[in-house]
Amino acid sequence: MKKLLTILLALMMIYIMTNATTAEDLSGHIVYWSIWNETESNAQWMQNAMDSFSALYPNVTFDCVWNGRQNAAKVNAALASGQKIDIFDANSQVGYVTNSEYLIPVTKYFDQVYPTTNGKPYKDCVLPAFANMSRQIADSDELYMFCYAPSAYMFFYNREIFEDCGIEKTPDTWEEFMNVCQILLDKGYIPIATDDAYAYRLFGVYLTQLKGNEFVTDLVNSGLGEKWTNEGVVSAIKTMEKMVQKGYYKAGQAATPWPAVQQEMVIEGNIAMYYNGTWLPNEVADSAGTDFPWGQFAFPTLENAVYDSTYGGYASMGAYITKYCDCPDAAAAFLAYLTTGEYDSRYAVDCNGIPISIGGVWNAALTDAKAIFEGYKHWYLSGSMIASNSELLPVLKDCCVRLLSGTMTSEEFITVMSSK
Amino acid sequence: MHKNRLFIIRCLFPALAIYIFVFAYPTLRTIIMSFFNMKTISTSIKHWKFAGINNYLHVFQAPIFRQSLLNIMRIWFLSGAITIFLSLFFAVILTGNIRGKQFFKSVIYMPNVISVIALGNMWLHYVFNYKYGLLKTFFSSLNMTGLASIQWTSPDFIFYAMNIAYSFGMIGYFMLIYVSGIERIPAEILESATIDGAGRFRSFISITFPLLKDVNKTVFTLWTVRVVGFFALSKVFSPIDSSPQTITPMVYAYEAMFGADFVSVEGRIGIAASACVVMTVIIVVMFLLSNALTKGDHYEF
Amino acid sequence: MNSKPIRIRPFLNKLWGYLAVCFWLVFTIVLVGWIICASFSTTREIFSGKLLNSGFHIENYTRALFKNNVALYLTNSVFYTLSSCFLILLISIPAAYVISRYLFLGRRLLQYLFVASLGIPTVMITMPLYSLIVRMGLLNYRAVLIFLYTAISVPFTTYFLISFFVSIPLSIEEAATIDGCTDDKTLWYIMLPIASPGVLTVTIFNFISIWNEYFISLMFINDSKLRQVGVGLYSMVQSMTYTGDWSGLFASVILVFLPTFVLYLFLSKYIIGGITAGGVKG
Repeated sequence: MKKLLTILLALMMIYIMTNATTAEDLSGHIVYWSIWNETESNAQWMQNAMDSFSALYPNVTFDCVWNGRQNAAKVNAALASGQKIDIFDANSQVGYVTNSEYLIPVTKYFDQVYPTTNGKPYKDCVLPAFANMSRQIADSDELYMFCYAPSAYMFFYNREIFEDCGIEKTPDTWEEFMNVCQILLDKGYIPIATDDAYAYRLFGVYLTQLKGNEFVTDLVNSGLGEKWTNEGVVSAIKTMEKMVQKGYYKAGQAATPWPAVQQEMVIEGNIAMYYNGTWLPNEVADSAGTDFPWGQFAFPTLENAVYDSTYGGYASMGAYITKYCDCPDAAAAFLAYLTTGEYDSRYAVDCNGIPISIGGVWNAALTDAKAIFEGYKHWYLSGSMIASNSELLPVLKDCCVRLLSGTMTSEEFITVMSSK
Repeated sequence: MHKNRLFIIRCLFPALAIYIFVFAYPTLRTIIMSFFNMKTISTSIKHWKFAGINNYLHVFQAPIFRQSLLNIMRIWFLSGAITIFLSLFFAVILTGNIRGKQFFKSVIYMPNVISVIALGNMWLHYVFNYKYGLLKTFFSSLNMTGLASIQWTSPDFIFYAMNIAYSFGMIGYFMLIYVSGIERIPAEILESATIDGAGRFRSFISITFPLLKDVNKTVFTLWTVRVVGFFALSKVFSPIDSSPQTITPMVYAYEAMFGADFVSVEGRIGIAASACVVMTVIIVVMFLLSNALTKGDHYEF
Repeated sequence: MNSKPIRIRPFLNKLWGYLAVCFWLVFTIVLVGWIICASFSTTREIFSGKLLNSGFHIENYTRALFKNNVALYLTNSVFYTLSSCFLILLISIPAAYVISRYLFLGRRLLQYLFVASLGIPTVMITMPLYSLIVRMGLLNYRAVLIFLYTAISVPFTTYFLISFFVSIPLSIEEAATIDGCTDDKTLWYIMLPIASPGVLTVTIFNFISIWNEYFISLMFINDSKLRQVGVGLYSMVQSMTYTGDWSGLFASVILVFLPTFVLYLFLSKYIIGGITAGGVKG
């Protein structure tokens, strides 16, 4: 018995020693190039997290370069020239695609236990949807990024308007959605609106849900041409047209320069729904105040569609560790610290964002989004692949703006898109 | 003039050295890059894949690039006419007999100093606003309902809106160039024209304008350089993604370089490089044209 | 010919002149005034067309100033811009003079080269240089930044000044040589003052474009303490766009614009006055 106990104790000791990190273990100087601008709240959040991490592990120091949204390009140029960067962040897809040859896999860190993960391995503490996404982006079983700041496109609506119209349940199917639009219109509200910058998103996601991600990717890759006369595409365009004809989009509003319409939504309270990303409440926070009655619902299911409601488009920021890093353990420990525990919840609250850890605290404006994220089992690119061909996009954007502002018919739309 | 060789070399050397190091090498590299494909702009040469003239073919066949060329051509003429005419007009007035020249010059130049972002957004969200904007209230107060109902930011009108905004910002710049050109002309020459009984307009056409030949050549070339490099205002008028009405070759090149395109694995840097080469060729051709148009002796005074 | 038209004509001309500039003045004041008012309003007010509805919000400025270290950026900007402008003139004036006045082989070619370089976007120039500079370990040096600013403005400045030197009569130089002036003296003491309106104008342009420059500063400087106003403004604008702080955006822009404008006023009033008053007569 005694022998068994000793062996057990020894095993336990070995386990603790190999898995627990102590304050003396972690050391290194980490150079971090950031996609945030120094004055953004996200940058301050990151800086606070670094300071607090350094307080816990005094041998770990940080050096930050706040590059702003050009980060991926600057990082790429720098890495190609041999500049030592340890961690950088970027939009999850862009960062990987641009810099894949400089990254190290971080899969083993996902299996580790950290002080902030309450005894569970890291991978069980963050939304699993994002590990799925990382693997699909990298087309590999290995993970190459720590995800944070999730985002997704969804329908944003004004709760008070819905209450005023007696709408008790958000629509689950497209038919219900059109009914809701009608009710809103009858009561004198503008059922749905968009700025010129986002006019094509609803169409893109509609088409993706209807025909699948590969179809849309292929359609967009081939540019202008006869693929746009496909009956699925045509039906999507006609559905958008129908919404305009019924008056669900106010005539001319889609041609308003961004961000005038989203500002109008929160200032005048006359627009009921707006299809945009989860950054929307943050973008209009200044005008909306803290008590704007935000609500969200997922894209309604379509009839005869390839995808159901378990499919969703979402994205996140990715934090990557480069192969030049000489202290990857410390870097990974920091990133785990950042994305679980206190700082993850702080991100949601201070930066109007979304937490990535499972127990994270959600911002009041985005509480509905939580269920939506948890419902996603399959991933495609946030907002659909419709925007991935930069030579096609201006033409598509133009057509969508015209269609939704009522100055173009679906036939004209198809003619423009299908002529080479 | 046969002159001190050493002097010539000494004067030229710094400029030439800078040109070779800072311009010649990147320019040559850009030209070479336009015949290759590479993943990102910093990819090392050994990973470049030869593409022949494919990039140029692609670019000239891409409807959006052709549209961007068409756009800058239209901007060159439309905004050019407004800008050059008004800047010359103000330059003449401000070198004439009015008081407060310095004050007026500063006010007219001021918009050129303000960041394009602020100016552009002001035009978009204030002047061209279709609910309470300046143009709408102005035309409504004059009961010109047709003009008042124009939605300037809609696809049909946004190109013209952008041109108006651009001209406004550029008039001060060219006015200053013309003012410095006119100030070079000795007062005696201008006075002699008025003594002979010629009106302001006539003396301008017959005397002042021809004497501005060199300045005009500079203006022609600089205006072309500006229009070909049209970028910032286009981005303000089409934030986030570009539109066919506002896209310019520079925007096209920028997006090919830094855009997050998932379409092409080889990257679109070669395409960006070829777009840049096309832009440079346009400028050189226009410069040669301006030389040909102003052949003849230089006026000296 | 009756005497009346001759007396009225100059008066009418003057009137038209005044009317035109006054109209433009009012127009400019309304537009720029909107930006200034927007910088004192809230974002809500900007997008509902009710500027200054709730009074003057000075906090937009304090926020921009303190959050963004504008004082440091301004100091850096002044240093970088003034040094570059000075160096540019030092390099471009002799080059422009020599190209415009002296016949030598390759004169035309040089002009074309300079003009051609105006067409290449800054991005294409700086990216290859970036790799070189990183490998040389020269990132984050003020001297490198000033060198780059100077370098990218040299072709433009040289080209611009050529047209000003070209129209000066040869007789002036001949007279100077007879008087015993060396080539250097001729250039700096005689030709330069005559071409001064052009020199001044191009300096103003260079000043403004370097002041607002952001791409080079973004790439070649990592330490925010070395940043200047152009890139500072750019990053402020970016962050304010994503947080929807439009009033702060306009306040930042005005903060950047004011020193530029004041410096422009100073440059044009005092320096023009100085040179053309003390001017050179034929």
